Amino acid sequence: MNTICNMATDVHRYHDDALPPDERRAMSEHLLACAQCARLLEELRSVSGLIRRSPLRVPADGALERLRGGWGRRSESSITRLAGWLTGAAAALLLVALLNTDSRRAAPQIRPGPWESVAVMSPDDAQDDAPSELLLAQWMADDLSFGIRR
Amino acid sequence: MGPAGNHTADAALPTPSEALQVPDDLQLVQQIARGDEAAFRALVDRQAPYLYGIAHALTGQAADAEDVVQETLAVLLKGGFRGEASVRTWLVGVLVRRVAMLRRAGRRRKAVLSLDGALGREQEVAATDSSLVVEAGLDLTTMLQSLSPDHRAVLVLRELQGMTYDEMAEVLGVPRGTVESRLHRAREEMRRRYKGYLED
Repeated sequence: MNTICNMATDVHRYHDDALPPDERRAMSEHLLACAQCARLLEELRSVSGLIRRSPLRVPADGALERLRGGWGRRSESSITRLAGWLTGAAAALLLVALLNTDSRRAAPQIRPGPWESVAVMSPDDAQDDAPSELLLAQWMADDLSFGIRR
Repeated sequence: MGPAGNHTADAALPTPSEALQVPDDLQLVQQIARGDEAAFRALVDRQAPYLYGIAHALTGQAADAEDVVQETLAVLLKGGFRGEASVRTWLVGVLVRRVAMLRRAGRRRKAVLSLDGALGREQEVAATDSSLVVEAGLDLTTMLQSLSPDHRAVLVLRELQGMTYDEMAEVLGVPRGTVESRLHRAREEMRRRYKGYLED
């Protein structure tokens, strides 16, 4: 049965220079004695070399010029961002204004109107120096109730 | 050799003043941040072909590759680079994340490439010469298309960018152990599929 050496993971780390110095020295000695790990290291080096030697695809015609054009799109995106900030600021101001208006409406001054005052006032309580609204309400109430008193 | 028989500097090498006039990647990024369009174009000319090749290897599609490179450059233009790595390494990290976002967005199209025919033909040959890779048309895109997207990403970051496990974990947003596990499986898959191309 072909068993895998338990040092195989450290072979990867050795290949990637990711072992601390003392473990690296220990692995170097192990590689001299373990053919399996030595073979693994060689294959890892070959895989790395294969990848590094493989040519990269080149950009298609016109691609570089389109990429250079990113500078112009940078200006457009700056304007878009500015517009977004201004919109957000305007929305925030509107919200504050609405909340302020609502807060004023929420606490109206509760005062009985002149009609309410007249409705609960005894005729003897009417005063000549009462506010004009109250006098008007008193007059109208007296006029309207004239037929009833008859 | 100079007039007195002394060795002079190689004529192909730039003079010190000429060398000073060619900005490096970091200088280009700084100039871009100051609004220098020419610096942006210079950086595109310098980095975009490589980025495109990586993007194509990861996505397998020319249109998707160009899209992610464009998005990567847009991140640069927004001032995303903070000097935490080399410019190219940072760009590749952004690009890999963009590819992952593209995949999650479900915009992946069916891969045009099919390896089965090529592998069936090439496995009969016991290759000891890496030039067979080129003859077989096995560029990086073709080679990686047989792997999962996660395996492609770790191989690109490790083999082409030389990132450490911790750097890869940060770029990919996964634990270090996951990076190691993916890398081991990716290499195992590569060893299995391309055994005939591995040098003795």
